[in-house]
Amino acid sequence: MPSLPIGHRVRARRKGLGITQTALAKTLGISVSYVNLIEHDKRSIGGALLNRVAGALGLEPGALDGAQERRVLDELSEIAASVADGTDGPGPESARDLLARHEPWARVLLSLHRAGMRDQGTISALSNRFNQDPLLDASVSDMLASATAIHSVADIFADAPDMEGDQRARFDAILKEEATRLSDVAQTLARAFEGGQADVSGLSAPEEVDDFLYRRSNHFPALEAVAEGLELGDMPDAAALAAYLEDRHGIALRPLPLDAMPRASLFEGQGRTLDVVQGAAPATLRFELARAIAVLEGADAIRAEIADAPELGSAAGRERAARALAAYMAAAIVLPYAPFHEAAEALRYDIDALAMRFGASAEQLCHRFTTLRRPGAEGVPFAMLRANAAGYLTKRFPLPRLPMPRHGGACPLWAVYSAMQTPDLRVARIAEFPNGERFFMLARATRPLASAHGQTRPTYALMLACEIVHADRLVYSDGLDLGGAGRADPVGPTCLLCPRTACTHRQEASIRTKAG
Amino acid sequence: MDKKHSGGRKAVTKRVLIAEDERNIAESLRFLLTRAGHEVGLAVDGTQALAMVRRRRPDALVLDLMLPGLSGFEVLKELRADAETRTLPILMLTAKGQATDRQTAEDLGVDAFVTKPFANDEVIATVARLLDGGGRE
Repeated sequence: MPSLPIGHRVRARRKGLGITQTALAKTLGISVSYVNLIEHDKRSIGGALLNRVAGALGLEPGALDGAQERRVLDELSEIAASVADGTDGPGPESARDLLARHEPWARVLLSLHRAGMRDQGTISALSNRFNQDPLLDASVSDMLASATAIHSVADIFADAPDMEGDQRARFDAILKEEATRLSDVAQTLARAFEGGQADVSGLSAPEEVDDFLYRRSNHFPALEAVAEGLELGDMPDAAALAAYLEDRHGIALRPLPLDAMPRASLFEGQGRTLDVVQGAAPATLRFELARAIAVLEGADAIRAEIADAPELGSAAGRERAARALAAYMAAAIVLPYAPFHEAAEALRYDIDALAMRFGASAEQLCHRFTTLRRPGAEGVPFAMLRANAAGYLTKRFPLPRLPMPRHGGACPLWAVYSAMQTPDLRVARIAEFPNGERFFMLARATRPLASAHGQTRPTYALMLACEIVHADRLVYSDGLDLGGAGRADPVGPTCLLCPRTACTHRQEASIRTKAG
Repeated sequence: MDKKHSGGRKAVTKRVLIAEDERNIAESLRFLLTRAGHEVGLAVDGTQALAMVRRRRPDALVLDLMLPGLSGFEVLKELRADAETRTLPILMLTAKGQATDRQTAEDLGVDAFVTKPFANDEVIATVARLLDGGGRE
């Protein structure tokens, strides 16, 4: 391994302090030519002399250990590899030369590379987002229907030149009608984008993470495997998890009153204590312990998931994703896949019964439901969302045909909002969308206890939704008529995209023309 | 061309039911399947599709996923739960090749899956295949 080129830093620092090579040589008790050789990386120095150079330049001992340079060199070779086209690219030696002789240019190259990576992430995230946007989703369905009809009829024309007059006239009419519909959809889209609907300024970190989870169906086999490999058993209780942390990692619990908790209370793996809220609910405590274990034992697996994710373009997005995956793995620890999936199916997703059996909170269970996508042992495919009292969606996990708005609220007729009026009661509804599709929606609003008198108790509602075809697997659908003749609430996606013009709950005009 | 006309055995006309609410797509499918020598029925929603299948069992069903009333999935589920129609060959049409849709359709027991926009030949050939191998009569 060639020595790391630190000469440029010695030179820059010396010049910055206004010291001559001669003066530095004198301080160090070495020759001027030797200083010159060091500054041009012709001599590699270490140990005592290196520390003396650092001291003479007013730097911390160890400041010249080359760690910074190593990072730059690593990144330069990454750049060289990423543009390798089979021909001889720049080798490690030339990266070292570049850094030794033209350090500012090396940094320019790094910033350009990072900017490129970030842009690539944004582009990829935006394209994913287009795949999920409700307006685009609806428009694409319309366009596909038109395209299908036009394509098919055009083929028929090409194939059957001897078609009878009547039939030909009918197909002519179809072509005209579908062409009009296609242009209507195109205009709708154009209007939407002119109106500034499309935010192309880049995605926020939460959106990046939403895309990341959605694209992987919120299922991470590698994390499940790590959780299962810990051999903590089917239902590890708080004591077992605390003992595990203590034995394996020497980490002790430190219960603190809520108002004494550090602001950033999330355990990041540093330090030998884990701060937990005194008197926290058992399910919360258990989850926090499992999260700490996930942070410590799942770090590599989590890093690997994030490293390969084109959706996570920003550092903030990657950090948020790491936290989300740690929580994912915590859930995999306290609600291990196989026994949990089996119990969920057997108890027909009865949240109270599962809460009793696994000592988990309703929100933890609902989250875990959305991750049950293991091939061969799939649970019901659920969408999940959480709304606050102002109607904003504060958590969202969509399903392919149940798109959820990214900003603001959904249709006010969704069960998640009706549940707000009857806190603690579960609301089970069949919702019918304008295209005739029906979803089963199950929601409950809760008001977590305030920790002190005078504090506001925020109400929020959590909702699960699944396609009606799966509803009979849920205990909550008992007694409801799930057939086509059964009662269903006529709902929409959001007002903006809803063609129900007569709806009395409409908040804003629809931009969707009724096509077809 | 050969494929299209060899689907139904000449001796016995096969009955194909189309369940599709997009009437222009339905019209084109009806034309194609009729020309391929089949007797074709049309249902415009899921409930009607079920009723028509039960009234007179077709030899194959072309079932759109996005139907009003009962969705294609629900129709499929009902038909598979019924001993009379458990083996009815069913081709499902969907607007998008979503992996979860395909998974759900397969779990529910669909025989074939075609995504829109489809090539006419693909639908005709798939129906022919189902009629040859999938039917019990």
